[in-house]
Amino acid sequence: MNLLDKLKIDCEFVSSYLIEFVRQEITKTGLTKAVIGLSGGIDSSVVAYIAKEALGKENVYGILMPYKLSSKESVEDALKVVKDTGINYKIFEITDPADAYINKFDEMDKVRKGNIFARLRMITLFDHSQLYKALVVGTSNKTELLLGYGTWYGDMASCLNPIGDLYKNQIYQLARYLRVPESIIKKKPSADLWVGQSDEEELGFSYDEADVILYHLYDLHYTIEEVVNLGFKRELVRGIADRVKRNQFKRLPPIIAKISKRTINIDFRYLRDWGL
Amino acid sequence: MKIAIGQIDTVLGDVEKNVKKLEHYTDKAIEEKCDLIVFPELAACGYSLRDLVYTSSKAPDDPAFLSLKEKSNYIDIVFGFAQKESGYFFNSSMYLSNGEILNIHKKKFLPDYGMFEEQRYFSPGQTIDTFKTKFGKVTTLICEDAFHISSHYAAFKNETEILIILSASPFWSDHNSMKWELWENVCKTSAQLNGYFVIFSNRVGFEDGVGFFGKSFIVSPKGHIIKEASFLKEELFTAEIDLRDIERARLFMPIRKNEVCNESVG
Repeated sequence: MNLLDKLKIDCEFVSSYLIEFVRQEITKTGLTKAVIGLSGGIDSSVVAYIAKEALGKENVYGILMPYKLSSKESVEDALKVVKDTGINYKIFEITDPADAYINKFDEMDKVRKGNIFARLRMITLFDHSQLYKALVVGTSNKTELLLGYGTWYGDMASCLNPIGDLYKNQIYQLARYLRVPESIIKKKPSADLWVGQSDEEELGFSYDEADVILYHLYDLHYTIEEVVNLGFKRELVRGIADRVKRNQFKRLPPIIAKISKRTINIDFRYLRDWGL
Repeated sequence: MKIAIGQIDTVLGDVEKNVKKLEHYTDKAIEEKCDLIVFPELAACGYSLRDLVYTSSKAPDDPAFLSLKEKSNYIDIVFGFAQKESGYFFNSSMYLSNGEILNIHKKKFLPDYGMFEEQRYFSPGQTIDTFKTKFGKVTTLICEDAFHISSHYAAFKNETEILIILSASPFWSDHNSMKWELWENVCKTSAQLNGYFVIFSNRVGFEDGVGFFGKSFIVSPKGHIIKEASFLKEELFTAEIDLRDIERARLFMPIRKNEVCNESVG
């Protein structure tokens, strides 16, 4: 058995489940609309197709937020999704606010800049969610959430996330099922935070490798040794396991110093859907 | 006999709203001339209560349930609720008939692994009881109870005729399994080996991303699914059953006849 076969999903059930998730978790708050940051990448494209099915195209707003150095291809691909789904869209360039901030500093490395872009996009999405009386639907997949390959309170910020329990490989399966445009499925994954960025080059491993290793370590409870025995280099498996541990903070709200007998999220425990 | 399953979503921690919904579906089932309606686990309050257990739990004689009790003069009603008793809490089911409480079952096996926290909040029940109804001997189980062989053994030992399972079962799947296959396997096997009907009433709706999949069903005493409700959709699901099928199944496979049961189990 090909190791990736273990990540096969039943796209019919999973997509109808995610459509219900988006519809119910939004409408039970009294709202009916969604705002999605459309990057032209596979994750936000899949989310747009799901949201359109859940809420109807007139209730979904795709916001394209290019920076002056973003690839032209990204905008073109995002517009293909807009055209195909018929959702509302808006192009909101983040160049001016980003440069206004960046120019306050003599120099700035690309990671800081990347974080600023991601957080300006977060501000834009949440502002538009207030403008349209909508919720921000997140687009972080399980692979990047586990690896911590995202900006805390940037692209990782949302009100609800339909794809956070799907590995990158599973996003591709869903994309094919939902008939996401071929150019989006075929291109190399990139956060497009700087010119020529490639996720897999930056991470130092492929998404397929990461998915298989993460799935065995965390979904199937394999030990590092057992994953190495599947045919992976020890340093790679250790490196990935280490990233997951180091980035746990990004997956949780801030910790609170306990003083009282009833501390928020420690022993004051309620779901967000309280009363909904 | 006509059976209804109220495959419903709930409002987390709002007993008043949920009981209104139970009343609504009960009225519909009465209109459709059903004899019994079964609602899911914790249908009166929602599932992932956490600290809402303290404010959502009720004594069985709480006025909140009066109208349902009244309606049980026209139809037998089974529903899940959070039960308050002497300052402790139980994940319970109530069987109402002829305007009275015929049985309360307190969930015996409270899951506390993976995503589940029931044992943190609820106290466990002590027994799996079988009781007489106008349709025959009934045993009620609540979700995890049905994953323990001893529960099925108790139902078998007590010569149950209708096994009712109230559930709030969350969806998960992987490349070689879907969550409902587990339920179908358990219920078909139990029905087939014990020669009784199984009614599986599951919830729908989402609670903080956890989706309850629905797909409630009824299994015949020969182990066939008679009818199955839909995936994720709230609905009133009804099916006709022939109680004589119990005897027919037991003539075909008289398993209980040759077993001296262990009274200390179940």
